[in-house]
Amino acid sequence: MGISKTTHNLGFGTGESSKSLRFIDDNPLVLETVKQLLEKSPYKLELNDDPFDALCDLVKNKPSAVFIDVRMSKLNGYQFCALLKTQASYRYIPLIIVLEYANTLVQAKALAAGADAVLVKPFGKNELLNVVKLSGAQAA
Amino acid sequence: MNPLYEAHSALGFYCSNEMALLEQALEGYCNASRKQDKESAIIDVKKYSSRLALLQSFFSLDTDKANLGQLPKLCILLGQEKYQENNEQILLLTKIFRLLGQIPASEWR
Repeated sequence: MGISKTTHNLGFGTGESSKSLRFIDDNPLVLETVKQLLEKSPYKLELNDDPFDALCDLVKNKPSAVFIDVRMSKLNGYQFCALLKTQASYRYIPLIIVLEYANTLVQAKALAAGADAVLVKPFGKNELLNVVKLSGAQAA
Repeated sequence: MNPLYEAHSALGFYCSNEMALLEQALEGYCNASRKQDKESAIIDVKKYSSRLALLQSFFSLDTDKANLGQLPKLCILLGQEKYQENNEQILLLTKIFRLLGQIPASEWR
C-alpha cells in the first residue's frame, strides 16, 4: 500500500474513547503497513484479519475508533458498520470504512450504513491520524 | 441492498457454524475416555461457547424464533456427562441457548 490520498469526514458522533484504534483488514500487507505507519503514534493499535474476531474483541475492549476495509469476505465493511451502529453499546464508537476508491455512490453507501467517515487507499500516516482526530478519538 | 439484513444473515451463518463446532467438541468430550482428550475437548468447548456468547450482543432481539432441534441433543450431552460440575460453563451455555433461540430458523443448516 502506498502513500496518502484522501480522507472524507461524514460527520462524527461523540462518545467514550479508550485510546486505542482497531484496524480490520484481511490483507496482511495492509495490516503490516498500518502497524508501521502508527508505530510512533500515541494510539495503541489492535489488528484483526477476521471481522468476527474483531466483533468478539470489541465486546471485550471498546476502542477509540474502528477502521474496516470495505472488502472483507465474511462480513464486508458496510455490513460490519450496520451491525455495530444498530447496537446502543457500540454506536458511539467512530467507524471509518476504508475504500479502494471514492465516488459519490460508495460514500453514500458508507454513510447509509452508518459510517462516520471513509478513508481511501492508498493513505499515509497523516491521513490516518487526521481521520482519527476528526473522529474525536482521544490519544493515549 | 440492506447491509443490516445481510450482516445478520452472515452472522447467523457464522454462529451456526460455530454451534456445529461446539456440538462436535461436546461430542468429543462425551466420547473421550482419556483425561487428556477430555481436557482438550473442553478447551474447544470453551473457545466456541465463549465466541458465541460474545457475539450474542450483535443479534437483534426481535428476530424470529429458531428451530431448536439441535439444542436438546446438546442438553442431553451436557446432562449425561455431569457437565454441570462447572457452573460457569453451564451459565455460559444457557446464555448461548437463549441466543440461538433468537437466530431465524432459516439460518440453521
